[in-house]
Amino acid sequence: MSIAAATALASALGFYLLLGVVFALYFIVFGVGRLVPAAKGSGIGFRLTIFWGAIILWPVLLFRLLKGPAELVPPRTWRRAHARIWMVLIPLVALGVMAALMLRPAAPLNDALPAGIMLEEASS
Amino acid sequence: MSHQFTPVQWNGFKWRYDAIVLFGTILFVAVFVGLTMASRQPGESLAPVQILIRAFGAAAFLLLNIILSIGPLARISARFKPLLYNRRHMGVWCFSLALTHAGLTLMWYQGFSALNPVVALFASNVQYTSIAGFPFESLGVAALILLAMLAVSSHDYWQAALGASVWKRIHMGVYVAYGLLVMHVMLGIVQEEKAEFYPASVIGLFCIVAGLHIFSAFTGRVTDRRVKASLDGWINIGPPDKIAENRAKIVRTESDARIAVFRYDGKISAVSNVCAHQNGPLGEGRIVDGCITCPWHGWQYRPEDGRSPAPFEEKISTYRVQIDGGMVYVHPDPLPPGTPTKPAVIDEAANV
Repeated sequence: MSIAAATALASALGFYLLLGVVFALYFIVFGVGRLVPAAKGSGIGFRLTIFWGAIILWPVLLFRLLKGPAELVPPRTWRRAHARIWMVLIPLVALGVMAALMLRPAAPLNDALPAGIMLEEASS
Repeated sequence: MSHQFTPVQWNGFKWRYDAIVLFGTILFVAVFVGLTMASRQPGESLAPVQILIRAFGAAAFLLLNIILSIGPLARISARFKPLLYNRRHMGVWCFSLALTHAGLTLMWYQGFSALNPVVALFASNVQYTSIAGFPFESLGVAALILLAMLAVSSHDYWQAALGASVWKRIHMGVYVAYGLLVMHVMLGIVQEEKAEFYPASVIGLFCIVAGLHIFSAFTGRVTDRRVKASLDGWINIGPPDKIAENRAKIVRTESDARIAVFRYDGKISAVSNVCAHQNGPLGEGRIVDGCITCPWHGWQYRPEDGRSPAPFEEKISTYRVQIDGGMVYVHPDPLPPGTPTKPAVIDEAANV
């Protein structure tokens, strides 16, 4: 990844989290009880626990606040989904591990120097 | 349960559970650092902070393997069920260890750069087409983001706020995170380590976790066959004495619903096998203080009406039951959640 692309990615991530912090401050004061009435009147400790989730999940929460609470669906088991996930995960990981072992470098790469220093040395 | 939200509903078991996990982690990190220091070859340049980075990373990875093994182990043997109870704290702790590993990595490897450390992390290695030089850190970052989503949404509030289906889908992401972490650790090892012990450990752990999941899924399929109802629409469960006291027999209907048929106090009642909290298997739990108690997080329901005891308000579907000719029968059509149903009395049936 180029430095420009990495800068854009880091900036986008920072902007997302900044918006998340602003939204989370609103959410823990006003939004918590709107989505789940049982949370109305809850204490500061609980709201601070929720704060971090609101920072990361703010787009979903904003959607829920605008569209209303999630519909109640009958509970279900997830056994089939678990089985499908493992059917995909096992061959993928096995392939990746085999490739890593087969294409292993003859000698360990030099990790004695921090990569940032190596990057600067390479660019200078 | 949902009558009032608090940060953590502490009890003695949770304190002990967390203390064991904390002590185990400290012990693991100390042993890892000690063994690595002791086994350093002359001329090997491994700074103490690098050893710590590896120790925290290894602790997080090992803990994730343990977390993912608890579910299938509890299905294979009831002795492991207590481990399920506070698994989410273990998950949050696993994320904390991974975050420490990532923070130290960022400071040590990128902190000396003139660039923003996050930018330097992504730009310092671009060999995405090479296995031997693959920037395995990017896999770790992706896994860390997923683990963060799981950790911050682990409180019960999130299931109510996001909806059970969305919440569960987010938390199924743990398997994606696990796959990414296996490759993150594996590629990191093959690029930086000569010893065969490390890749063998990763492969061994993955085989154990995958093997446990496959084994429990296979044994589950054997005991989880669909049962046909008889002509009058009822399902024969068998004689009451085939159900252990305060335990249940789980039956899978033709419509793929699972019913937990409980025996307690000389009576039989049937409810949905799926807990309203996190869809845990109620039929694998037992009756405690007169209530069906979910083996995952201890949520409780009265067997007669599928309602949680006051002040809680959760409810699950109930099913009609009867005993005829010494056999227990359950009707496969669910009644609306919380509907009171008359338990079948075992002694009365014996007198018929």
